[in-house]
Amino acid sequence: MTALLNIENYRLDIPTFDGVLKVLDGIDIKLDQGDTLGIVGESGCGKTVLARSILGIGPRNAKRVSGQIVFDATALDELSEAEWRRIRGVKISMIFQDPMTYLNPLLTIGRQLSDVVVAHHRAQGMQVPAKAERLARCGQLLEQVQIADTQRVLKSYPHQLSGGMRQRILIAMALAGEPKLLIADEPTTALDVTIQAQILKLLRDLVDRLGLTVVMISHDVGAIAALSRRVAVMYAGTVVEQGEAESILTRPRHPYTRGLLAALPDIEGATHPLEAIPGTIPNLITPPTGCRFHPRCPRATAICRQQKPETRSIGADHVVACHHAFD
Amino acid sequence: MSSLATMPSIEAAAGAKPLLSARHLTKVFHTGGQEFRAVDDVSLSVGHGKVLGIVGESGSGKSTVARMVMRLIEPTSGTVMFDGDDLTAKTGEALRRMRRNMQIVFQNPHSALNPRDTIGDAIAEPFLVQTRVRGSELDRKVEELLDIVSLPKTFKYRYPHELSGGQKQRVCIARAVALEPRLLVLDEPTSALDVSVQAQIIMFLQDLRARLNLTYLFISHNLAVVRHLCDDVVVMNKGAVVESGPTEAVFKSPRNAYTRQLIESVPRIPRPAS
Amino acid sequence: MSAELQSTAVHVPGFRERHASTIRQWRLYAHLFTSSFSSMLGLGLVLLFLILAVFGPMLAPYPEDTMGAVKLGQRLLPPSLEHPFGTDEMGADILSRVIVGARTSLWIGLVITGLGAGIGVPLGIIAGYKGGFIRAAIMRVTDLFLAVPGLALALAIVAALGPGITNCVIALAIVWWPGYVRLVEAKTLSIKEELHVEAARALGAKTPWILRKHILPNCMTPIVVKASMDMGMAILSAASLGFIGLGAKPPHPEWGAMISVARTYMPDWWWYSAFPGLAIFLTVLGFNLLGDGLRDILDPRSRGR
Repeated sequence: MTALLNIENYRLDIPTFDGVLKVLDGIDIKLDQGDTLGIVGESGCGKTVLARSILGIGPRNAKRVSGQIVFDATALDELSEAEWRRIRGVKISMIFQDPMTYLNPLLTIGRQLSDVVVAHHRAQGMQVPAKAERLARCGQLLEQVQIADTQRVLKSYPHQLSGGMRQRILIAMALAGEPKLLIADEPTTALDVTIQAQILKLLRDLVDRLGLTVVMISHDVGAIAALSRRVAVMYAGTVVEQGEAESILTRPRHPYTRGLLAALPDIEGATHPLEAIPGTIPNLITPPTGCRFHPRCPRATAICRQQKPETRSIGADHVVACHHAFD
Repeated sequence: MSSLATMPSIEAAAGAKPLLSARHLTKVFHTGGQEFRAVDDVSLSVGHGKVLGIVGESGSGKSTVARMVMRLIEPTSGTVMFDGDDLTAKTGEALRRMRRNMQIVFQNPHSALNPRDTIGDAIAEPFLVQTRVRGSELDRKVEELLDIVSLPKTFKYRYPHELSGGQKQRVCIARAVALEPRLLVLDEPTSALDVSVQAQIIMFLQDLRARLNLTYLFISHNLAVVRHLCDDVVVMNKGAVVESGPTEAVFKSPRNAYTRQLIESVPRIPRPAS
Repeated sequence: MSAELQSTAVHVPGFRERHASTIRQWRLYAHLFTSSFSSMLGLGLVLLFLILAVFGPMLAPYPEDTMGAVKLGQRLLPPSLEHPFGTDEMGADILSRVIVGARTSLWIGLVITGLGAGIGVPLGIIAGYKGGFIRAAIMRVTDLFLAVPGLALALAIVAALGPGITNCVIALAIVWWPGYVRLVEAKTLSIKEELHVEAARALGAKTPWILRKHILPNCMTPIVVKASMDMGMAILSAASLGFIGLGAKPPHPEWGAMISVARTYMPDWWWYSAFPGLAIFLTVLGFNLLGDGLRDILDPRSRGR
């Protein structure tokens, strides 16, 4: 079976005034239909640039140095803007951190949702449905994201709704084109913890019910763990470890993954002493040679400074890129 | 809800003479002819050298409580006692002098530093507004404080935008402890930071408290951090205290339904077997 | 021993190292500014104007003509090699008078803008920071001034004070400051919500300290941009007053006054009004382009990507 999403040796540069940012340095990610992948990493690791590149909305001046992103047997980097329009928002949708930014404050939810429905019909060359039919479709979409009083919500303006409700509406919009792949960029970061739990549960249900494939990006290991079957850990533009979530979280092999997990205080109480990763994230204009994590790594040796570690398989579905991975 | 406001458990934990105690704090905002009770009859106290956590979601009023304790906004009613002194009664020069004893660190270190000032200027500011320390002695103090927060001395020439979030938060902490206060109000000090940096700051705050004999009022929405750092905890919801007590007791057997929901909502992470 | 020495030797960073970020910042500004044609054109025009203003009397081919020399033998000569801009009705060289007029214009622009900002900025900061009754009072007076057409009000003031270039400048400064109050008040309102202001209050900083150290430095960008554009507008306004005979008096070489006299010689002796007009046009254009350019580099939000 071929993967729905296949990112191969993807390398991306962004020229800036100070020099060229080497934001992505050979990313390899594979994702099957119906699977869920969580990309976890700290700010500046390149996870958002990667997510946006999948949707073709990466930084405008970014330059692809090597590799490709293949989605559903289509090489996305070769697409024209017209071809993109049949994929973006239709086959691949995205939801964002701050739903308010993506809703027009002057229009009702009903109007905005029905605009999206109309746009999808147009994009697929179908006739635009009548008003009653559109309304029915909007109601149906809201029900899909478990909004009960659809009539009231359709007549509301964004500011009249809570943050959790707005995120549900954004998810409904993302589902309007019946996408194969949903990219969720920090979907719960701006939300309160109780609302966060509801949204994560909703996404979980959608994956189960609609067979949706999801790539979720977050710095929050907890949110990632709640939704994703597979996890990719990113550091400074590289994927350092990837595989089944259970395996990575309970038996982390890469020193960075291990450090990241040890830095998380546990809600269940002090089961382990808190540990911090020394140092700060590197400057991507002049990234460290060899393994980009070596200046902060407790296990680093001479080879780490000289040679970029190969990604190697260490389990059924578990790869790691480290010269001195834990056993 | 107000039946819980007296909180016997916290009183007991804090001992006879708490360093800070707030009584029946209430803040009412008037917007467009409507009354909004942001904080409704909140009482709490922190014992010498203790860490009291205030947890709650956005809109719970926890930050408003912090600002009222600091007298950055005036309470509609209620009193704040600091080491036996009534803070709410103080004005003008007396209040200004009191401020040396209590300082605040904010959530967003990016906005908490003046973008036009160097780090050296920022750390010198407390001395310039509160003391007569100037010249080479001031220079020495600034370098000392940079040392305390584990930043290189050369950082005094830098500007805030050149620093990472964690480094900026260290600068904010250096400013806050410059005048050797006794109480530090920490308003979500790690919420804007990355996980590994958050751990650095939390460990640093723990160490700093022991070294400088500080008392913390720690405000956060992150329950795991609160559980890790605080001796006692106050849970707020919609402007009122719903539960309070020693941290372990509240987390292990929450009595209030909202507290239970809050704790259960935190996603659990499968942990490495150690 | 040597190791000990090394560990105690403190590395004292050099100037370049200490100010690395400032240097980088200015290099970035220079890069953005020089890559914009209109900004560079504005800078060029303003520099030319400043050179003329400073060295004018030395550069003028016929300096005596600027002080009211009468050479009736060469009245109203068209542009030629000898007199590139022609001569006026007194036989004076127009090029010389235009060059020397730059100094008057610079003086007018600087004083009006300086006085306007000097009155407006403190009022704006106080209004924005204090709020309440003080803000209401300052802003209502400002509104009052803004509601009356500036030039018409200045006209009335000059009429009351009596014509003359000094009175003209005073009158324009009186109508100029409200714009700064508006601008600075709005900026102060947003800056005072920033955490560093609250942090300074928590430190026990007094209000004057906060205004001087936290609010004013962060207001400077829009003030500099507005002042740059206002230089041009002030020069234009002063020329307008000169044109209707309320500003500088002939034979004082002031561009507006020159056009005022020249208008009776239109259209046959076109060069008399055309060249002072061109001088006003290029100066105002220069300051406006410079202001636009400054705004583009100093305010990242207005920067086209």
